[in-house]
Amino acid sequence: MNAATPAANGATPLLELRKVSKNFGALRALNDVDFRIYPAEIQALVGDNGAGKSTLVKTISGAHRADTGAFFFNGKPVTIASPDDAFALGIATVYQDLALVGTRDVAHNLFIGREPTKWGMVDRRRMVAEARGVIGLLNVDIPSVDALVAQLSGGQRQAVAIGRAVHEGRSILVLDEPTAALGVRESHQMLSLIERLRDQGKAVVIVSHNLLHVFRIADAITVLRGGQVVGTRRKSETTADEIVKMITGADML
Amino acid sequence: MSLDIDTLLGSTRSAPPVPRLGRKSRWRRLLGNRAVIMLIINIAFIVIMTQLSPYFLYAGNGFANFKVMFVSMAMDTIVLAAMVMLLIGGMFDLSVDGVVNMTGVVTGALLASGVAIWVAVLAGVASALVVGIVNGVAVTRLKMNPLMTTLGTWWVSQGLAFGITQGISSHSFPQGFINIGYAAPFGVTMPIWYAGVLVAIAIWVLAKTKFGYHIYATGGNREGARLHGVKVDRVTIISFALVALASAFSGIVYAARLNAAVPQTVNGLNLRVIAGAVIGGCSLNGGEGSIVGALLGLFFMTMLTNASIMLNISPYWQMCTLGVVVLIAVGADALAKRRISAV
Repeated sequence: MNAATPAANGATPLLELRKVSKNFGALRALNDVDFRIYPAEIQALVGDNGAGKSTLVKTISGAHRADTGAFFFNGKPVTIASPDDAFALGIATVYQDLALVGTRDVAHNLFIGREPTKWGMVDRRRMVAEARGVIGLLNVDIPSVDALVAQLSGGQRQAVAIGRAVHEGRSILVLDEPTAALGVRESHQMLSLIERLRDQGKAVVIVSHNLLHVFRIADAITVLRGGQVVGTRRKSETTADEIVKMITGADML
Repeated sequence: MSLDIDTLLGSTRSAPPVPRLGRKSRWRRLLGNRAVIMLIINIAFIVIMTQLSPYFLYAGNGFANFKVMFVSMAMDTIVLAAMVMLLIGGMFDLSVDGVVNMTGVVTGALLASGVAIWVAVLAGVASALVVGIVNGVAVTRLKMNPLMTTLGTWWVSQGLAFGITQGISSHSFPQGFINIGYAAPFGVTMPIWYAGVLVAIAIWVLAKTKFGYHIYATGGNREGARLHGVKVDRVTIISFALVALASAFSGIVYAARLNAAVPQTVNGLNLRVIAGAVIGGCSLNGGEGSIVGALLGLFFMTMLTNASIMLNISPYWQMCTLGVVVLIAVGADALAKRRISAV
């Protein structure tokens, strides 16, 4: 598998970040980060708490605007300064807290910020129809697309967030800790889902603390520490031991 | 979660239909709707009051008492329509009384100086809009606390109203201006027309437009909505501006009806409107509420005040009653929230 991956062939990355930095006041959350995402590849992003994983995710998804650095999509320079920019490139993100609105129904939650309109008004009929399609495909026991998200269980909520991302992530899916809140069986279903997304040709970025999960599905692993990229390894060329050392900085001792 | 992966992706099987809510849960949702509860309470209140006072509903010469209530409610509703949008968006505004009075005084002073009506009105509206935009920008871009910010702008605008008049209210406005408040096309006085049109617009905006959907999303989960591309700061700033514009409108109509611009025209309208909206189901946490519910809540408060007068209850006790009603409404809200989060 790995020998045939685009990265190994020297193909153009789908999304490339070059020397991206992001500061929060005096805190340097990202420091000259280089990061490449290839189509049909699962790229895991690992690192200790505060290593900059979530900041990097939010920079890719347009939730944060990078202070410096350049973005390239299919080799062409682009700017990702807002969630709308990321959406236009087909990048969809499932945040760790899912970013759902509990007081709204499932149908609206699948389209927040991108409500379909007709004659300047929200096309509720189309929204409900498309929402049913998305939820139907997920085959989850969500009672109805009319149901308020606040009334759903944790797993159902996650399904809504994933459904939304699968629906709008035409090129890249970014998943921040997708298995953190799931049981063993659900976690494995989630990992299979991620593999199927990859097999469909999508680029997937997954943030996870669980190295077992990472080693099961990732094609490449990028380690962050202190806001900097320590390195990227092909899964076939590394061991869990090496990754742990990179995460903790033990190799520097 | 039973995620069937094979059906999720690349499946040739067609998706199973997702049912809409069944009839039973529809009923439950209806009864869980504050607007429906308020409607029932209002009808019950009218029935009881009709037994207690013969003049409350029908007084031989027509529905005179209800007409009085509707006009007073209409004046509040002008502000309510915008305030509900702001509340659903997760914010609130305490500067309304000040802005209403300031707009009236600015417009009145200019009218007294002899400028054209439209110039005076425009200047009044502009002064209010400045306050609204200051509120919105302070709360979003500068991340200032909405309570203290709008308390501050209330004092500033109220102070301006006092400062401009220097104790001498302008009065005796041209007939064209008075008509803004007193004309009565088809026998219905202007404030009721204004309230009706504004309510219709607000309902349409909240239910049908993208802006309305974004108001609900912003109030329900501000950061989540932002992450999905909703321009939450813009939503909030526009909502504050709309409340200020509605307040300006109210101030001008008051000045026209009184034929005078008094710096203390309204005192308590702001809290009355917010209380009515909250009783009618608007959550102060945002994300929830409706214009119809808020109107029914305001109607209940209007009836309560009116009934107290009819039953010769002293104004001091009226205040107590209104306070108790607000506490019950907020308490019921908190209780319902606790039950939901316990499930």
